[in-house]
Amino acid sequence: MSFIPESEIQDSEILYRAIHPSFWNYEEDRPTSALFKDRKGVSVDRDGDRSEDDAVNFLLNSRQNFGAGNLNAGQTRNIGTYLKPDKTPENDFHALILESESKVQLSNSKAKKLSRVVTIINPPFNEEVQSTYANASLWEKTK
Amino acid sequence: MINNTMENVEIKNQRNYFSELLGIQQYSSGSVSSFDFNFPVTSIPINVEQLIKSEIKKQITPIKETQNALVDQFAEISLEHETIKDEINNLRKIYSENYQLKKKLNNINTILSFKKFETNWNGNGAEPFSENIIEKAFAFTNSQSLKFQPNVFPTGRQSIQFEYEKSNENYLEIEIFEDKYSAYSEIDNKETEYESISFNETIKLIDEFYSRI
Repeated sequence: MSFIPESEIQDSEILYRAIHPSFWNYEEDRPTSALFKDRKGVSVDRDGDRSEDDAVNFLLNSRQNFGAGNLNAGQTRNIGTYLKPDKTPENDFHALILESESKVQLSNSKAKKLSRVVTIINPPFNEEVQSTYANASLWEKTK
Repeated sequence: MINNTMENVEIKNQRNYFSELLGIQQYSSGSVSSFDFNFPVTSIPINVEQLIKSEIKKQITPIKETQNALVDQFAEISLEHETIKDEINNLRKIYSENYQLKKKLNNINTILSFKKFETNWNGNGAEPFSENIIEKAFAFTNSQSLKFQPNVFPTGRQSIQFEYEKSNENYLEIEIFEDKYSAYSEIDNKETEYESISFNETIKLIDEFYSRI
């Protein structure tokens, strides 16, 4: 069955989210809730019947040092978000996670919940930040 | 007659027994020999009582001396322990101040790095950060009122987020917008949103967050 970009997002679908290096908490080794705070809604790619590798390669194609994570659509919906297919000329798989049908930006509570349920496929990479936080973490451990 | 003799033997044995018990055998040639063993114990003659007391004193003296020496030693150890405790507390304080200072420098670098963000830095069309918001976040981090340094992150909605989390999962985030501060907390599983608060209220929230166990 071929993927229809405008089709309603099913609960069983997987949504892929690119993670900018600044959205990573290097001390805690997890993403921040800021990853899900966006004026334009949270941009994700639907799996569209692709393998995880294909979906992640496509997602990170022009995003150097970004990481990738995925969310289950049903779980995302259960948090109280609205999932909207949003095909663009460059990306048939594009979709948005919104606060509701009429409100774009997610509440702080929903953003935090998403940051704790997202499954990390690849963490982002930032050599400078990583070494700084590695030192800070080492420093913390000497307490 | 036989009965009387047996009684005498019994009384004699009883005398020897008590003499040994009281440790006064060597004094038996003195007044102690006339001690009436049938007399109630509460009425031990004064000289016997003194002998007992003296014997007890003799045995207790070295114990007391040892006890006093131990008390002195314990006092010395306690004093040393207190000194070590003070030193550890001082080191902890220095460590904590250094850690906060180091984190402050990291945070300042992080905030300044947001200046380099160009349009679409997050891959979803986010705009660059204005000078105003970077200066506001910088001033907040650098403020003397801020006793606890957070983790700092940009958002895709033109704000800079300061995040605090404790090991018990209590959580506080402060978001600095160009025109306001907002906050969100999860404390003991209770969610609270603060839509628009002042700088002082923000600092108070952070202080209260850290004053909790």
